[in-house]
Amino acid sequence: MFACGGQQSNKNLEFWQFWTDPKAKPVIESIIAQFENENPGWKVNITDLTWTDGHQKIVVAFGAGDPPDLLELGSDWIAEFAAGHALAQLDINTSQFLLAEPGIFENEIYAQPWFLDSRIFYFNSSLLERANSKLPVDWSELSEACRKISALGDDISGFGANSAEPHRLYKKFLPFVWSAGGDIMQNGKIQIDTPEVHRALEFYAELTRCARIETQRHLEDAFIERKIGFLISGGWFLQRLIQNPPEFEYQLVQMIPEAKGNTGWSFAGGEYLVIPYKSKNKQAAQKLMELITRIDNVAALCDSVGFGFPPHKVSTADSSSVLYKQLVQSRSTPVHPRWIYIEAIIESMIEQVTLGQKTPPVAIKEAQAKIDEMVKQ
Amino acid sequence: MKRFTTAILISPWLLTLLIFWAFPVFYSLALSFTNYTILGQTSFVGLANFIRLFNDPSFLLALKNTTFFVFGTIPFTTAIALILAVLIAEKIPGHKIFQAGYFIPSITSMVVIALIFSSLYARGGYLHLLGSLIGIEVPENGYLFSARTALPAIMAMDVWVAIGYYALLFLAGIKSIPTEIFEAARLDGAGFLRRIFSVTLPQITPILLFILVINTIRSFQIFIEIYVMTRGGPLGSTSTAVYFVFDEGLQKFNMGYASAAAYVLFVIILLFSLAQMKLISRKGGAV
Repeated sequence: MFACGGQQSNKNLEFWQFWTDPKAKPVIESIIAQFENENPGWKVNITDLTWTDGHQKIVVAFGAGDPPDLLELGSDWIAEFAAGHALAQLDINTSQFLLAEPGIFENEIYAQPWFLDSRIFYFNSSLLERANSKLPVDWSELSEACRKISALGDDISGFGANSAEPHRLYKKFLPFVWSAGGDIMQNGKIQIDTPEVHRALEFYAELTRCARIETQRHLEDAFIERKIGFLISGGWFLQRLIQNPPEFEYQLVQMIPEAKGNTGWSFAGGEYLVIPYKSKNKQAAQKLMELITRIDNVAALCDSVGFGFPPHKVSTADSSSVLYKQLVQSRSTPVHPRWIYIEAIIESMIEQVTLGQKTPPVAIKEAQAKIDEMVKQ
Repeated sequence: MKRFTTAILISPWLLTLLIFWAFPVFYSLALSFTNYTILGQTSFVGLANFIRLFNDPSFLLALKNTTFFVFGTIPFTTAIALILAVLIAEKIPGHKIFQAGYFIPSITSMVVIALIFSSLYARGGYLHLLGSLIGIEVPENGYLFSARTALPAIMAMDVWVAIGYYALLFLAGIKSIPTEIFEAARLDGAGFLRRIFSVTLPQITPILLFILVINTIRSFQIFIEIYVMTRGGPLGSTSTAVYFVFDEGLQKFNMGYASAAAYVLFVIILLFSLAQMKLISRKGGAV
């Protein structure tokens, strides 16, 4: 049994995580120090990963049979590792957490939510005003605002649309599907040839006709340079705007539904903690995981970086903030072990339509056929 | 004792060769006949990966793009590098500065160059604005976000990067030509262009063919530019063979399939290199 005290032999606990932000590091380190104080004999070794190549390192570590004891994963990776029998099942009460679904695979819990953030619309109010447009409440008004802002000229675009950056474009598109009342995951199967996906893709294509297409980072720069009327971004961008206030008014708006009065759903990104199946220190890892995800510790982490929310339903977060309101109306990546292939097909479908190579019905039918074929393999 | 000493002295190189070169080469050949994915179960699949490759539109597109890249850059790189080398060899005023200047891109990190060019090609970037100013039809969202212009834009950058290095090789070849031949040509009344076509070019044929071989191999292996600038997009228009191997192997972890793709690329490069070598031997050149 794992002993909380009295066990003096030096044992190492390997913890791999992605928080490299200098503001977050002291928080992580203080939690680790607390763990080591409360559990003499244990030494936690932190390994920092980057989002650029962290996934590769993790897969290689699992492949070599030498994974860490505790590991941070992005929400869209959990199913892949759970399906590969690489993760230990967890005994946690998921009902107390928002967005616990990405951590559940085939009715078993494999991941504990740690940190959540959502995406919302950022509007340049000055450009809206110049375009004689009001804040849109449904898709038709959003489309009209986009066209009017683009008509201002001076290299200004209504909307900031993402280029096909892998793993990013689908996160911008799925909220339109959800806000049209649809879902691409139905009874464990990926179903994109639905009326809601058709409407969402038609609308997304319409928006891109008055959009600047760029990478997320360049879109955010363009918004600050008053070149974009509105874009979708997360809490990190609000932090950037607070630290370097632009010389114009901006507004934060929840995702806009297809029809006025409906719910505008967004995409929630999340960090989750998992314990690899091959960890020899599962109990200690579980204890460290509980400490790291304790609400006060997550709140401290959120405060340090200036965005994000603890996943706990009884949260310390400002529930009136637009980002938090959106978070409770957010969904995450569909849980599917072959999601990495599915997202590539969906992103290619979106790109084919936005670049005018295919019409939405043709692109959707072809993408559905590819997904069906790929899932069969 | 002498043999033992030789073995000891050669062992660092030999071990490095065996562990980091020979083993991966043969191991990946073995993997290409399996469905190895790191996390899943592995089984022998025979030639299934190779058969799948030649029916995979993504791989065929990557091969097509790579071939377009190779044949679209090598003539320009070689011709411009040769012209620059001839001009430098003529010792025009400031030739040393030009020589150093042309070579700078070759010693600059490709990642840095790719990031700079990404900005130049972006909407509102200098090259995007320049295109508009001189009346070229430029893609609204920049050169890298159009399936029509993304690959040519990367090719243009690559030509710019590579010419300095090849110019230096050409220059070394030109400098090795005995000056007496040039003097004799001058005395015979040969002008600048005549000297180039009748003296310089025939004398540097081995260097020219050597450059063609290494440039072909390098061009087939294009990856960093693609990874940094486009990730194979838009719509796979910049996906190349090595990027395909990277995507399948290190993004999707289809190691068996990626190994098969790598071996197909290896065979293609080998055939090209053998053909060029044969050409060299026919011309009587030595490399």
